[in-house]
Amino acid sequence: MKEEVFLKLTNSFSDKLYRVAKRLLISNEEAEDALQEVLLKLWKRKKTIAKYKSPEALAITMTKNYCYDKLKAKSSGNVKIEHANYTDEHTSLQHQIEAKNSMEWVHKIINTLPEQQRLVIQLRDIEQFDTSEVAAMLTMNENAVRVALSRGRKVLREELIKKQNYGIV
Amino acid sequence: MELYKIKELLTVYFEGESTVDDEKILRKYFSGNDVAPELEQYKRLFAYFEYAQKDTSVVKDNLETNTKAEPLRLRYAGLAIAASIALLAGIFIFNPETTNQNDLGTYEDPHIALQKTKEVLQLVSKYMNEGTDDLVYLNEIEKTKEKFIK
Repeated sequence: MKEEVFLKLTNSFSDKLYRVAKRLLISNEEAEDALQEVLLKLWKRKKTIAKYKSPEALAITMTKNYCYDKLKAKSSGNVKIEHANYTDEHTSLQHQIEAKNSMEWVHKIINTLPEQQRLVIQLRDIEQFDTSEVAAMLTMNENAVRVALSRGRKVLREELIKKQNYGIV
Repeated sequence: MELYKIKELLTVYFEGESTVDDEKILRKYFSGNDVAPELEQYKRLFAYFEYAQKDTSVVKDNLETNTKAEPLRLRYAGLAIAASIALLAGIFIFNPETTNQNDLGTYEDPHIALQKTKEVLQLVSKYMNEGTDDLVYLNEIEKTKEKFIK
C-alpha cells in the first residue's frame, strides 16, 4: 500500500480516532499523540490492512486499546497527579465560563462518566456507528453496549434536568 | 414529527434501544426552532453531539502537508541536476585552451627530427650522470665499512 492510498484511507476516519482518544484522554495533546501512535501502528501493518473487513473499526479498536493502556499507566504511575492538578486549579475559573457555555457543560458531564460509557456514547451518539459496529469495535456484546449506553444517557438526562430545575451545574 | 412520537423516541433513546436512524430524527428535531418547551433541556445535548462531531486533529493536517511537499522537493532536485549539467557542458564547450593543449607541433624533416631527439636524450642522460656522480661517496663508505666489518 502506497503512502497516498494509505493517507486517503486513514484521512476518512482519523478525526474520529482523534475524537475517541480525546474523549478518553481528555487533553488535546494526548489525543494527538494517540492518533499519531495509532496511525504509525497502522502504517506498519499496511500490508495486512486490506484483509480487514473494516479498517476503520480496526483503527478504533486500536485507539481504544492504546488509550486504555495510557489510562492504566497513568493511574499506576505518577502522571496522574499532574493531570488532577491541572483540572483542580482551573475549576473555579472554568466553572463560570462553562456555565455560560452549554456545549462545554455537556462536554464536561460526558467526561465525568466511566470510561466505557464515555466511549460508547462517543461512538454511538457522536460518531453515529450502530450498536453492532460498536460492539465489534469494543469487543463487547451488543447487550452490554446497550446497557452502558442507557446508563450513560440516563446520567446525562438527570444532569440536564437538574440544570433545568436549579440553573446550576 | 409529532410531539408524542418524539417523546416515544426519547424514551427508547434513554433505554439504549434506539437505532442510528431514530437518533438522526432526534438530532434533526432538536436542531430545529420549534422544540416543545418541556423538552427544551435536551436541546443542548443533541446540539453538543453535532458540535463534537466537528472536532478535528492537527496531526492529520500535518500529514497531508508533508505529502504535498514531497513532489516540490523532487522538482527542485531535478532543477539542481539540470543546472549542474548545464554548468559542466558550459566549461567544456567554451574553454579554448582544451582544444590546443594536445597540439605540440611536429618536425617535417626526419634528419632534424633525429637530431632534436638525440639532443633531448643527451640532455636527459646528462642530468642522469650528474645524479650518479654523488653515488661515488657511497662506494667510499662501502670500502671503509669493509675494512672494519668482515
